[in-house]
Amino acid sequence: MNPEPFLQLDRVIHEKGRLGIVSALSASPELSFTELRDLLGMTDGNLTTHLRTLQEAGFLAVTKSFRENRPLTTCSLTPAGRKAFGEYIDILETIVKEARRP
Amino acid sequence: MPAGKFLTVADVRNCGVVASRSDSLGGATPRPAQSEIDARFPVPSVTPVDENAAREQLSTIRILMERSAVYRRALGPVMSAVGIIGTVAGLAALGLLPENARAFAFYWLAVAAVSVVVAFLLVRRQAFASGEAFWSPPTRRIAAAMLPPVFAGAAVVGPLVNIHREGSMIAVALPPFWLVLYGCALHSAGFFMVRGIRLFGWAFVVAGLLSALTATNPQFVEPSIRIAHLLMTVTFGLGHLAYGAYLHVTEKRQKA
Repeated sequence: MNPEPFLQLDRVIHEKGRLGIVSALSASPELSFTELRDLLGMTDGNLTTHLRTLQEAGFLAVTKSFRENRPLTTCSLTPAGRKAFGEYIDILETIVKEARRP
Repeated sequence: MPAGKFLTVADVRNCGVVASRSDSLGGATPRPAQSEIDARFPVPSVTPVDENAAREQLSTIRILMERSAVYRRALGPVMSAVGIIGTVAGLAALGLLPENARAFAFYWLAVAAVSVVVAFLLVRRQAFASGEAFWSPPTRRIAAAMLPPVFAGAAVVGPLVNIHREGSMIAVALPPFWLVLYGCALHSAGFFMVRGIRLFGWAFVVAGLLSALTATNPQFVEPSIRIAHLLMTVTFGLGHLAYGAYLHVTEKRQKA
């Protein structure tokens, strides 16, 4: 197998927890912290760490607001995050296609 | 997930991905240079990915995307079921119902209520089959997006037909009004579903406006309750049926 495609995988996204976050956010305009936590079955601490990593990489926008006097944290992908996720999918597809080639 | 059924780029592009929020909303840090990222996440940290791992990864992504947005899983059956209900109800109404606006309005409200119940049951069945919660955040968001126009369409019926109980003009005016509102509801829901739903919503809005210009104008056609039933049958019945058939065909093609 040509090793080149997998070396191009984005290292920030290519981690189980962060990939889950990016996948979920790619199909929704935004998700709250609790929605993400429940969807992915992560602990608060684990999710916070991954969100921070994605935010530092410029893939994630985090908005803090209040709803019914309670703090609400919502997350959404930035244009860079969407682009990186699209490229990540493209590379996975390339890997599958190359393996199928006789 | 069955072998060979993995996410394609087209799936990702069509899976309700909406326009990205601008960074100006705050909370996003600027994207660091690639060299910085490379330094923080060096190459050896990437697990080698072979074909099976890539396929598994794509399958996981697909499942997560489906869970976070109501994907097209139940959409085809829902559209087909609503189309069948609308068409059968329309044909039955043409032969059975008395010619008055009140009967017309409440008959179609009842048909809409039955359609909503059937749609919910189909989505619920699909969710349970996938081992997921039915009343999930995406389902709630879709319901909340559709509620205002749907509520307006239903709420206006009582006062209108009480004033013009026998008038066929009111019966003919109701379908365009409902079509536009329903189109708006679909368009709103389309932000949390496949993009095609937004186009389908636009189709209803355009159909509503065109029918408002023609069906209510005696120059084109004599307004009658029969015309109103026909409008409902063609748009709500056959329209949904056609979209359901389209989804069915395209889904088969993607699986092939």
